[in-house]
Amino acid sequence: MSYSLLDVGSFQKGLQHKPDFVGVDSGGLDLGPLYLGAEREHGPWEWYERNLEVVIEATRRQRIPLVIGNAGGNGTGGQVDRTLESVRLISAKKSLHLKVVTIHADVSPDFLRMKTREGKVFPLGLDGPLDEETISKTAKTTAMMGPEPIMESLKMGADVVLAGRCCDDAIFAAPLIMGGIDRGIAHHVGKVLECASLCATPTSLEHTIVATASTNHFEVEPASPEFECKTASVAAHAMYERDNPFIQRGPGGLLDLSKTQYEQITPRRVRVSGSRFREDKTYRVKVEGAALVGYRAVDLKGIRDPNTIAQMDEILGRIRGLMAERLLPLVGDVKYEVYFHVYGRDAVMGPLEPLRDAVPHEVALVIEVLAPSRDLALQISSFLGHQLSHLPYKGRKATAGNLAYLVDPHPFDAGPAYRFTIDHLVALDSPVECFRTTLTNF
Amino acid sequence: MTHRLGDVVKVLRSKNAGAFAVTVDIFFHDRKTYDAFKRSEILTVDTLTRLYMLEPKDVRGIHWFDEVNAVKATIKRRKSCGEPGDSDALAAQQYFPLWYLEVPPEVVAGSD
Repeated sequence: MSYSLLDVGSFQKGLQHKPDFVGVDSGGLDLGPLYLGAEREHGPWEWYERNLEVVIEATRRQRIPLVIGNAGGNGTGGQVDRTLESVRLISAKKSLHLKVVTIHADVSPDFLRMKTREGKVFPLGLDGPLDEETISKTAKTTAMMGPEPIMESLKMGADVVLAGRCCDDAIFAAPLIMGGIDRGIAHHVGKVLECASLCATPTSLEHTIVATASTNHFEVEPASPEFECKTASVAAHAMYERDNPFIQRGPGGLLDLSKTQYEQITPRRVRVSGSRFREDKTYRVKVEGAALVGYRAVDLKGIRDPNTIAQMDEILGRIRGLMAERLLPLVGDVKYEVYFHVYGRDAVMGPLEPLRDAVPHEVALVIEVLAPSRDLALQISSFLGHQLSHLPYKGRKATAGNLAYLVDPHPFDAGPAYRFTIDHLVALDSPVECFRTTLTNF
Repeated sequence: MTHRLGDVVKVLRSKNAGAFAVTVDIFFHDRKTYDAFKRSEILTVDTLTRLYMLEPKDVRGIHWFDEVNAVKATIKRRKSCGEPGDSDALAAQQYFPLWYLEVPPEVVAGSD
């Protein structure tokens, strides 16, 4: 919801099904560590507020709870708070009385130190235990909640739940588990609904999807008549952005889809059964952290000359050599990184490019520099652009310059850069241990 | 005539599966071509280590999903998502090594 414009017509059609609740996933961390570390938005906040207004107004009209997960895009504390402020403005504008429960999922360095001491931190995407250096350099860490903190918020009587970082399935599983639905079914509903009509055909992230859950199965259909759910499209969604289509691990257990059955009930509606949730002995959540690693300058230069393109690697190698030598007095022993991305040749695939030897007639050279300060990143990038522009090479005819400049200013300041530093599992004493719920009445 | 995987399948896509893995999904047009591809044993850990320049331990899994005529392969990301130097933050364009994989004629829909 934080980077697309909800299709309002489709949403209204969904509401005609008289749902017991509405769930929305606002994002996640797919776009990278900057969004976590710097708490950056995924898309225009105006779009997000417009989507919020639509869903809040409608759920209040029908007097049903609204659960929003990964509030603000990534579900960091700052983004949950900013979303709460937007909800306050909407409640004032629309004269709505709202009980809002926020769930903060940020975890502190001290929490991580304590869990490390207790031996309750385990490697996941990143190896090793969490050492003090990693913990102290990390700018922001969030834990990914399961359904339990959302269930707690709903029990507090929330009209609107603004959950921080959370598993996308938990948004939908929480109210279903409270309603007595089997956990395997509840979580699978969440997995299918988390990307709206992406489980339908054609696919869409902006069109509403409707699920009806019973104790041991659920049925799913798109709200808009131009979309259809097919057994293949619903089953295939189990593959989307997951490492394994049959076993999906989450807080407190795993969802086993190996025995799941998909049945076509109507041309647009699919019944799903047989999904199982297997509880773990210890309740573990994923924690994710990102650290500031410097500032980036980016420059884009066009190259059309076939002689330059033919000698690209040699030219870039020479520039690296010049850089090491000429920049030494300027940077000393300060560490910096330079990446040359040759678009038109292999920028996207890097060394894996199968057509690496095909000779393009034009390329874009993107120079990416990472340095400890904005100023130094810009200086290094300027040096490289200037040197490249005037570097002599074999067979050179264009003695007035080797590069076509596109952007002004060049290079441009691409701001702070982050890296994921924490991607671990933490064992919790209870499923709500590190999640803080707060009730606000508007 | 040689047939390339990217030309004969219904869907060939890649995406992040978390910040440290790329997952590639291949959907076939029908059961017949899917079965032919599965039987051909072209897609193996060896194939992935060669095409993606990986160690065998970096291949996280190959999952055959018969019900939807699809196979999923999950491998280690070259760089973690969005870090400096990463040129595909969502890993949405990392399926090309497989695109050019040569497949037998039985994998082509309507081949008989």
